[in-house]
Amino acid sequence: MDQKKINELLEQEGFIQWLFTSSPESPWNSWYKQNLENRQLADKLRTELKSFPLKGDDAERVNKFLLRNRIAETIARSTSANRRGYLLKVTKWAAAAALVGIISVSALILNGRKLIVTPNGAQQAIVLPDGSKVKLNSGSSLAYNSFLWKLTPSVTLEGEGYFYGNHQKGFGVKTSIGKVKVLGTQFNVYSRNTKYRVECYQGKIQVGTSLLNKHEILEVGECFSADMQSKKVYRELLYSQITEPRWTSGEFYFEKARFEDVLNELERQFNIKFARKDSFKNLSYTGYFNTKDVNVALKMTLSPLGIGYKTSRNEIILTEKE
Amino acid sequence: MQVSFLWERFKKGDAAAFETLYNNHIDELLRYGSRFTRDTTLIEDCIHDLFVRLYERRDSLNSPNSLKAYLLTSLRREILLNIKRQNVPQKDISQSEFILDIDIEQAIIRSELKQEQLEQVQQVLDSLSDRQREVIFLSFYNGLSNDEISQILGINNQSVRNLLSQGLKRMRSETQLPSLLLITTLSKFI
Repeated sequence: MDQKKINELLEQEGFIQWLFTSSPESPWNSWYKQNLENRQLADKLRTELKSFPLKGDDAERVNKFLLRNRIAETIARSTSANRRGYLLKVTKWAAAAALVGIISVSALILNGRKLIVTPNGAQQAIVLPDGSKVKLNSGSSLAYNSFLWKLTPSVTLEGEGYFYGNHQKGFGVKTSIGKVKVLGTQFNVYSRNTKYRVECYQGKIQVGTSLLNKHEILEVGECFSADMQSKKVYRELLYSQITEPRWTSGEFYFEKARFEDVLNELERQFNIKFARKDSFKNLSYTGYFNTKDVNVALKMTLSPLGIGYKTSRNEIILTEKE
Repeated sequence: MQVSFLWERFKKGDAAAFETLYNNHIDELLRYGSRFTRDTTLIEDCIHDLFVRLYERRDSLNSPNSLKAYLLTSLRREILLNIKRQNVPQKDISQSEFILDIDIEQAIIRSELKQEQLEQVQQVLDSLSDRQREVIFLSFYNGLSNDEISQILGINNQSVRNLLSQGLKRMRSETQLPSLLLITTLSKFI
């Protein structure tokens, strides 16, 4: 080998680089292709440079076989540990997902809660999730859950409400006193204080209260009432000519009713307040009023019992007539 | 082609492919590792960790352009982190030392060079920066391209070229040895 020539080559820029890297953009590529001598020279240099034995490194001092076994052992151990870790991870995620699910479902349930309150002096019509309707009398409230409706269609009522319209499947009406199961119909539910009354105007309904051992089925024109105070239940017939509760058209009929109930109804319908109610509450009243005019209504209810009244700022004071 | 095939087999969990990977690269890794520290146990641990991690993460690993560069990069990071953890006052990775010592006793026996000449070479090597020594080592010993070296060191291609040419120039001018002799000497006795 021509030492001088080699030295000259090595001094030249990029040659050593090219020897090692064979980078294709190097000008030495064309030099390499020029003749056989160049090719042999370069190849020899390359092999010499690349195939030397190393001294002073740790390659010989390390037992490569033992190291390999150690790696294999760790991998075997970690893969079984990983599988356990993987399961744990999966359970963790599953738990998280379940939690998110529970939270969002409860959010939907909470969000689905609806409460409708009709104040005194007003009436209100509501459409239920199944498309049927409720008319709420004054001073009543209705609660239901639109999200859970499909699962358990039911409403909670306090006060008085008339249910009508087309029920698709029927639903339940709960009050603090009793429970009505609708089988596709029109009916009125009254539940105030200790009094409970259900009137059936169309179809069939099933009524239950704590005073009954088993459910009562009401047919068209039938009425069921219960008094929690006297613990008595009644079944009566409605006047055959009415097809919906009279209160929905602003008319109130009473038959041997406790006068307290009449006064309460007046308060609700006209959003008024009576003073000295207690002196008259146990009177019995049979009669009628409508919601067209408060003065007419007061006259129609109070005068037959010989009760007078004075209007003060925000109260109507009841007085015994002289 | 063969390398990428091996790599794909390894990624699928082929134990034989993994073993081949190990056998193909273990010498190079050990040699490179010992440039950073004389602590053989540390190097072994690092190589152990490197391969274990490689195996565990094989699913998410991309096919590297240069497997060799990839492995050397990983080992380098591993070793330097460990050295750092051993709190040898190492300011940061770019300042880690890189040992490139000629075994002069062996070199005298094997080469035609005289002891003074070898010592001169060693002196020049010592006068270079750690990074220059590392570039020279990776280029000359491992035959890596500038791109691969720049990947390993985390510096750009031009910086590699500068380090290399500066290092070589200095060695040539200061030792006055012919370059080939210099290179072959280094190659044989480092």
